[in-house]
Amino acid sequence: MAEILLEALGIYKGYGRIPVLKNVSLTIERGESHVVIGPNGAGKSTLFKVLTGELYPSAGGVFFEGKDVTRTPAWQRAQRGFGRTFQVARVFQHMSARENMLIAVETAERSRGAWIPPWRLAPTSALEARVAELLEDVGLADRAATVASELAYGDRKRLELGMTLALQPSLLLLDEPTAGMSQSERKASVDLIARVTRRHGISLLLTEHDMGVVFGLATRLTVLHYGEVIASGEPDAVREDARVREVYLGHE
Amino acid sequence: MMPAEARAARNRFLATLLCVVVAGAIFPSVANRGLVFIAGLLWINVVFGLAFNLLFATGGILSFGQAMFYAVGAYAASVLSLRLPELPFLWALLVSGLAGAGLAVVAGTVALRRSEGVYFAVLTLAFGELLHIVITKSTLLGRNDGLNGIRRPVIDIGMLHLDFSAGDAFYYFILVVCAFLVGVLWMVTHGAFGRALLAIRQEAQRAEFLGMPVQRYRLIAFAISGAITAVAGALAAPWLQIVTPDLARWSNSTNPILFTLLGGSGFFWGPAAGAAILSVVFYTTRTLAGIADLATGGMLLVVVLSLPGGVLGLLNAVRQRATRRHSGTEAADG
Repeated sequence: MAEILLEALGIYKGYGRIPVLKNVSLTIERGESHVVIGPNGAGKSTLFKVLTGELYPSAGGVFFEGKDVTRTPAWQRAQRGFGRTFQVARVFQHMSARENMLIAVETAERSRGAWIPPWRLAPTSALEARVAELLEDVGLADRAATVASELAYGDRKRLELGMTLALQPSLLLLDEPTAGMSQSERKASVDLIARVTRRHGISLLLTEHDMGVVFGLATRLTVLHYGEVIASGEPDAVREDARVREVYLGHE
Repeated sequence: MMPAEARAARNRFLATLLCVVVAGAIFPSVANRGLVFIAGLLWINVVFGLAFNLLFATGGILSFGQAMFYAVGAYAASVLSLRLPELPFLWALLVSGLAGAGLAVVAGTVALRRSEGVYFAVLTLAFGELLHIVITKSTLLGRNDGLNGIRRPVIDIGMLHLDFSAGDAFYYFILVVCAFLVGVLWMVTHGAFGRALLAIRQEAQRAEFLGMPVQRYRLIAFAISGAITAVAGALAAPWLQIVTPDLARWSNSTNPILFTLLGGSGFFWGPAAGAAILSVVFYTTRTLAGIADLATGGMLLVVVLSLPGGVLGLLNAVRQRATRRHSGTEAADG
């Protein structure tokens, strides 16, 4: 069995008195592309937030590379190798794509222990080259000077993905990476994600609605229903699971 | 391509700063002592306003307690000057700055727990008022009467002997130190740290998930602003030769906010322009009690309601329109 990268054990989380996650456990092995699906309100986003550190669970634990990170703040998880994108892309709206990427590259450098003089006006040529390379990687080289708020939505999502890649994460967590995209953008997006994760050996956890995306990327599938895991395993096996067909796939 | 751009920005800043300093240096030879006194305060206020705007425009943090740093610096310099006259003044400035930074770390650690806008502002306001009460109850700090008789310093650096006690000499010292502080603020704003602060301001959660310790950066920004404001206060003490508890009051905290809104928070020099305008208002209305407040209030209303970019925003818009018209005519000619 491959090495376990991230493990969630018996996660409980509720908002007020409404339970959202009930005893959810899940593992991500190194090199795996793990997709979590489930109907609206199943608790996917909450699970995602608990795993990334945006929320802490009320019970249960999250372990990364064997270490307890249940209550580790999000920024420290990011420094340790978590890369996360948001359902609605979040980038620095008033900065150009290049400046956005520069912030990510400089932050990644600092996380690695490099000292960047706070008063340094322009980045070194090495950092500048890294920025250009990352923009090229996500296909935004010709948009470098465009202010983020003026980028097309799909481009903004790709920029955010590129910024996350700047951290050289070992685990990429994507919350509905193709939400709000057209069919052709979706296809391009899936290809891009598959390409970068394979090339850099990044493990993947994502939540998704679109079945094309799910079966295009998943090496493992977990189905969440009313805050509980009802099935988890090889995508084809899960697809045949009677309960899953009943609550979810049957409606597609 | 980028380093050239950065160099151009830096050179533009240095050129502006040089013009301001030269104008400031010439000023005493064309103006009377009363005006020179106001000009000295203006340079201090410029730093006061710019240090506030580092938090406001770059960090997205609204501090309503800048007066506490000003007062801490002014009182620290006064106490040192009165009790430890043998301590060199440059050391007194340094101690004042450290006191400002320390106070900012204490107040910021508490207030940044509620960093969301108005809560933070109210907590900083409360800290300022608290400091005001502490000052009025401390015999060492002169209680309600404040401290007076603060001498202007004599500075010895190696072979250099500078006597600032006579006439306007201390004015030049203020000018030089303030120019240095403005330079520091510009570097902090435009360097890698300022970039990170701007990112936090625009999308704090994204910055956090890139691995940025967001709260720590905000606290550092607060400490820098506190330290620089305290040094400005420490310069004010020997210039005014008296410090009173009013320096710590919320009314003093509104000063840098006024400078910033009036001049334009979106421009590095905005608060400086605002401070200069208000100095002129105070000087021209000095014989008419109450008119200054009326004029300030009126201007603020006009600016907030019709010039959200401040005076520099207005100038910028006028200049842009002029260039556009100019290039428009050229295109028509061609």
